[in-house]
Amino acid sequence: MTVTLPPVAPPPLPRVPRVTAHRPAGGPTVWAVRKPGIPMVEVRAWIPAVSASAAQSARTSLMARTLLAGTTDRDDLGVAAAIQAIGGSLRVSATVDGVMVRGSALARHLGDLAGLLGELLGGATYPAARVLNRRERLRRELVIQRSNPATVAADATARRAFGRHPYGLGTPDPDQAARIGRAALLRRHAEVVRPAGATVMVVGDVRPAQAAARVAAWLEGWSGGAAAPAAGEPRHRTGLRVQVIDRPGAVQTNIRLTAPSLTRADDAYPALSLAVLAFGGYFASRLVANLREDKGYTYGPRAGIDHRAAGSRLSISADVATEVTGAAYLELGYELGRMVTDPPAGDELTSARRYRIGGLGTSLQTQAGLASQLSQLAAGGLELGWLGSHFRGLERVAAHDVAAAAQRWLAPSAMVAVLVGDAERIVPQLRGLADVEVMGH
Amino acid sequence: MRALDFSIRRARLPNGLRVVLSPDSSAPTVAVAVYYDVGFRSEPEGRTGFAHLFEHMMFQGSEHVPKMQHAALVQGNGGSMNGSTTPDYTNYYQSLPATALELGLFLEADRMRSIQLTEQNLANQIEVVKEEVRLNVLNRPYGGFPWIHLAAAMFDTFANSHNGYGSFVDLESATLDDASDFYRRYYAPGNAVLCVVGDFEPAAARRLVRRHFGSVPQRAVPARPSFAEPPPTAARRTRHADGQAPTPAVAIGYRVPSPQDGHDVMVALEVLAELVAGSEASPLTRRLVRDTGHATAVAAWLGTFPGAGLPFERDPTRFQFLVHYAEPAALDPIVIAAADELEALARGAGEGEVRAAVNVVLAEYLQRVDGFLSRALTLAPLELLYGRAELVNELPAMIASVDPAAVSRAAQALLAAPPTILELTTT
Repeated sequence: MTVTLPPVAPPPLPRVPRVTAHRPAGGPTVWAVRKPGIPMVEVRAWIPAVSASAAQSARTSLMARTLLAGTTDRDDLGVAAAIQAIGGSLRVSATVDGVMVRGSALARHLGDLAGLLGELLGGATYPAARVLNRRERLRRELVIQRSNPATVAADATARRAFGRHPYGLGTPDPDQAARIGRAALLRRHAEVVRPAGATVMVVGDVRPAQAAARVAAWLEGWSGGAAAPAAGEPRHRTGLRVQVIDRPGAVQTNIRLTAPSLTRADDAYPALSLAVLAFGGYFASRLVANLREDKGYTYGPRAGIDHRAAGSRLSISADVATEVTGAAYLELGYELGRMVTDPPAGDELTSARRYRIGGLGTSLQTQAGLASQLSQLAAGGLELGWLGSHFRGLERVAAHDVAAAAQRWLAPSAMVAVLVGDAERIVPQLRGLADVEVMGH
Repeated sequence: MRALDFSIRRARLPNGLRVVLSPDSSAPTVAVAVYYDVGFRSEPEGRTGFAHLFEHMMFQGSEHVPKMQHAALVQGNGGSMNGSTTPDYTNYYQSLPATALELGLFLEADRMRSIQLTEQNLANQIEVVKEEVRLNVLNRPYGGFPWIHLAAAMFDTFANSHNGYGSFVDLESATLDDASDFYRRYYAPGNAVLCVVGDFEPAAARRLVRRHFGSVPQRAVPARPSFAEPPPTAARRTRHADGQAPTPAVAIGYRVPSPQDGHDVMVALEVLAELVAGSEASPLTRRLVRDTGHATAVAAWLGTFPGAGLPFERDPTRFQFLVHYAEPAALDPIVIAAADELEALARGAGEGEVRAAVNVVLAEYLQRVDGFLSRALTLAPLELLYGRAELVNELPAMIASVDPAAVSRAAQALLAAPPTILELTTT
């Protein structure tokens, strides 16, 4: 029996919510978006703070970890109790480009949350006893993180691709983190936690103009000099041998490939983003069809573009059984080649386009999703309006644009490759496929 | 506190399928979820991991949809999809543009009616699942800890104690006959709940549901066995060696009353988990992580995998602490502190700490039901496990009404039977 599939009318382009911006002199920029539905509010604060060295990266990490440990008015327990009391959460994390604060609270407590945020950003005191405690916790957590093969692979890939540029730093060194004192944290805070370059975002069951103005007022006690400098443009290294990081006894190999890529602001970015999707960015992609659903080599092969403030890069990953490492590596190369000889067109292109537009649209439908989109754009120096032009760009992409982007940006010759696994078992499998160097773990 | 008022329309088709529709036009999308009342507790001995392997087979082609086409149709129309397997249910779900609602219903009905089982696809998915297990369990530190190992330590029957991911020997032994038997037995329309949330006209959606699911033949619904087993009478202590872990950890498991027997104690346990270990100011975190430095991190939750307000699991289930630490000598103080803090709460909880924990649990619940898909993934298990999708609107008031006496009763319930202490050692 044959059936006709239910027809699907092309969905309209997602509506990009309106952002109300407030730009007080001396910063921070405040964005507010009305998103009712649940009586909650999400807050994000993005503070640029590039780490120029491993020591600085460790300091920024510990600073993020200790920022909530006290102000002149309350100790760490007082801060934690204040957050719980408003049904809130408040987390601070560090990346190589800066510091992100993520918070939420019951909507009626926006004032309390913003007030607390202002108190912390303007006057975190880093009490000595708390620093001692949290640096030891950070040291132990970093040891655990570094024992994970996915972290080993990510760090090795970053080091290989970016060398001594900040983007090559990877996970902070646990022992370095364990030596940082209170004075160094206060200094780092004064250097980078400044309102001038920062963006504070409010999303939720609020009136945006009022919320933006009030949040700006609550943050008035936060002061400081000019924004910290951003990272310089990275030079992505190419033409290197495949690096194997030995992890004796590993039952899987973490294969990672990376190459320079286009930033979101580039005119050709919509075409490249569709090429990467069709290659390995979703379940209906070539990598999944081949490596998973045909060969059974891996659970989840993946390709995507990672954005950093000073540049973007393509990341391709597959965790494969040790015994099929060579075969999987060969198939990855084959699929990269096929992107040039047989580029996505027709239904394959339409599918990627609809998935990309649909996924971005869905991400805007919850308070947390919208706040996350806003903050990721802020960290890359973009505003929410970028999404509207991205949607229009995606609609215009033609097959020849995708082919051109794939040819230029998915070329195997541009890739840096790192494999983490049992060297004794995987190196022989790579013979004839790659020029390999082996490193200790 | 503004009450939630998500619309809930219920229907039951002649073939037994339970349907929950929750229209909401605040965004032009829909979520479709189908929950089957079978999880890894129901898989037969010698076939550990089969319920999860079977979940993979549900994406390998159905009556009119060849392999890979399910994903191609959902994603190619701007949607996303996935599935998961838990002790008591297996779910399949999609998020779609509203214009693709009928496509989503067609796809779910098509695989409820019949699936394509081939030797080649089964062999392929056995390899894929083995890679999933290597990724999440075998090739990483703390893999599967504590969910796999705590079940083995706390429970005695095969159903409750075995590894839901399965052993490689069992996975490799799976046959097509196993798969067709499992499908016939557990994937009957009468053993499932369909939930649709989002932008649709209820009458139109009901028509589409009838059009696509109405023709799925009625099949016998298996009697659901009780998985009950008595709580332990003495404290248990076991070890799990993890050669990849750089530092030790301990999980402490407590039996809880049956989630079917009353919602109040379950909601109070959710609040207790937040109160005792949810923040830096929580008593157990403060004592172990902040003041003594014995531990690096402390967590507490209800159920094998955390639910939302109520556990998405039947009896028997558990409450657990997970504590990471560095020095082996810290283990005893950690175990003593966990018992102390529960005993203190059993004697009495403070008004302020309960109020704060209630606010956090409430906020997390609200965030959970904000999106259409995560709302569908809350409504459907509430209907499947408790027969009451309406709980989605009632839970905020239930959470808000938890008071110190309720938290004390929840702590007493945990202490009614001795705990299981499961150490993760680094060698």
